[in-house]
Amino acid sequence: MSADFWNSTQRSQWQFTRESLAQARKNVLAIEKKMGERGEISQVNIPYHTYMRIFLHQLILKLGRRIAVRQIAIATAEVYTTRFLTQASIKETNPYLLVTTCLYLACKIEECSQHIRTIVNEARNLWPEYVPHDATKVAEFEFYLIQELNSYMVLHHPYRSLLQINDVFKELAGIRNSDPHPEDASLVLSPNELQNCWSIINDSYITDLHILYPPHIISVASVFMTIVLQQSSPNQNSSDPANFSLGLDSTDGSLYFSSHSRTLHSAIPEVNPFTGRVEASTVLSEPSARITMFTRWLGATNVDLEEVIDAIQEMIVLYSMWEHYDESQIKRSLSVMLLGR
Amino acid sequence: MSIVAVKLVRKPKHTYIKEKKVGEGTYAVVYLGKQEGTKRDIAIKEIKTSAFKDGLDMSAIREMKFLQELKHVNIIELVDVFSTSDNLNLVLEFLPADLEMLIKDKAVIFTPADVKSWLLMTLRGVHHCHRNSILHRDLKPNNLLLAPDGQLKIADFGLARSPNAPLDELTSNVVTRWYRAPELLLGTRYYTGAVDIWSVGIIFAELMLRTPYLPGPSDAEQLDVTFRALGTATEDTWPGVSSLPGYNSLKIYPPPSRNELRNRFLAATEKALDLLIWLTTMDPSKRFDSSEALLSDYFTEMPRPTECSHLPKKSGQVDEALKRKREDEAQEEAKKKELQTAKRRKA
Repeated sequence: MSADFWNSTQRSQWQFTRESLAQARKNVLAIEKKMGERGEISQVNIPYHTYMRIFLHQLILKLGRRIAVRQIAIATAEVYTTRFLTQASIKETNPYLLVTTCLYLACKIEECSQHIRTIVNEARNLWPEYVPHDATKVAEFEFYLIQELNSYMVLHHPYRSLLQINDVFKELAGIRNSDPHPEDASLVLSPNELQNCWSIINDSYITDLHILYPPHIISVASVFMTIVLQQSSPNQNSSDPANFSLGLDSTDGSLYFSSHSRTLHSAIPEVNPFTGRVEASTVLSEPSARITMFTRWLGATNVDLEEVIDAIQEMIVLYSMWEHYDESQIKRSLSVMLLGR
Repeated sequence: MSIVAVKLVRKPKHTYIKEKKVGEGTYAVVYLGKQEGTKRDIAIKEIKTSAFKDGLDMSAIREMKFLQELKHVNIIELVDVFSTSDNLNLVLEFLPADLEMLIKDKAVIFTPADVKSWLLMTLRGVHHCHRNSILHRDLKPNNLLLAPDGQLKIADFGLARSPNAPLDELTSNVVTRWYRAPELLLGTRYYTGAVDIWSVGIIFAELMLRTPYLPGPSDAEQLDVTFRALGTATEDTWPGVSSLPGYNSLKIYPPPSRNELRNRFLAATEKALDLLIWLTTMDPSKRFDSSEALLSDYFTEMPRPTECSHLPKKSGQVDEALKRKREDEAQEEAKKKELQTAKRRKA
């Protein structure tokens, strides 16, 4: 990975605006329609929507865990998948083969390369009816993938900026590498909070954020969600439905928000996040003092707040949709498309 | 069972004309050609898909990965990548010569200003790699290509790597033998850009000597050759060296005195010697980094580095030379491929 995001191809070649992304998707749909009319692709309706993307995300996670690769390779594979599907319709591909290939290439790029046989065998263990035994299929697909990526393959991920942000927090608190004591109204993220941020970032790969914004925007959004949204609930019991809170879903390891965005709105205004001004006379409880500190810090940075807000919204929408996620419909239609049954 | 595969052909930014096949390696065929419209000379590395039943070769992947990110006047430009139905094509800028050819061409005279100019361009390219945290790991005169306008370009990123973390274990089996840093010869698994700097130092010496500086006859003897020329590293000069895997039963040679070095490099100024000493310091943590090297007094003392358009060019016929070079490359690639397969097997 090149050290500098700003001069990277991720920024110069693969960063969309909302508009250009919508246009790219429109083009893909137009191609899909044409191919459908010519009978070149299946007539089954396979929309590329949030549920489908959660499904693909989980496919990559499953395969990644089986071959025990580093998180960074999984993240890279997810962005490759997203990029690929801005150029080609999901109906032109075998999604199982797509994620296998993305992970295979990502492992090579992130220098934890796995033999093609290993990946194909593991993928076949998971999805025997969809992944061909013949490893050359993946080798072939790798070429198409590189082509659709325009051979731009280096990625910058938010994980590193997250750790950098926390380093800044540590410096602000005047402590370096020593035991952080979050209760001293410091911004330093506790191990739990860091884990929360990490999980939010993991989940963010389901969305378009990585082809819309620089990685640090996503890290800041994850920190904001962790510090502000979590701390604004007076009691941190994640099972309490009256509060907006975060928790780890034990069933699929993903992070979820247990409440609806309505509650979020009531949680944020007291903070007035982007001015950071709080009357000196106001007596603050400890959590809001920390939030104030954070918003002041954020306000003093040059981070694009509009982008951060957009990222947060995207994540909240994702989490609220995730609550109703059901993969059976997707599995059924993929089976009809790929196997004819 | 119907497995749907994609067949999409993306249009390249330009069209290219392949004019002449100049070489064939294990995974690629190299052509010279032109970019249609601009008439720009280019080289096309055509990677055969069919050759990769096991997926695309790592060196091809690395070349694409790094060259797409690194844009610098002293690094070979990857102009475009496009694919045809069954192969992938890397369009590279056309670079008719390399530094090794010039060093060997005894009809060509190097002035101290020429040497300075080439070293400066090399260090600028290396600096750009290092500030992007990319280690080249195979610097040698043969990989320093020369453009028609005299600019030097670092090429062949097939072994390049960016360490993910400072404590990532890396293979010490990198860099062509004669340019391999002592920490690699001693088998360290943790190293930095200092390995590239060492290579630059050895290339600097070679530019002045017009012959390889530390031509070890085998991997096993390279360490001995290195220590004989520059003194055996000890705990005093390099704390921690004795705990490296390859540090045992070594002959102890004294480091060369300043006078010995003066005699070795008769044309070198004191500042040139200083820089050479810093570039080839045994302890990688004390060795100059690319910024320190670029800021060295050698570059500010007279003579000024030669303007690149005035640098000497190869005397003989260009086509002949090119052919030879490509053959060398093909051999190199075959060797590398072997190494890769061996590594993969090991893994």
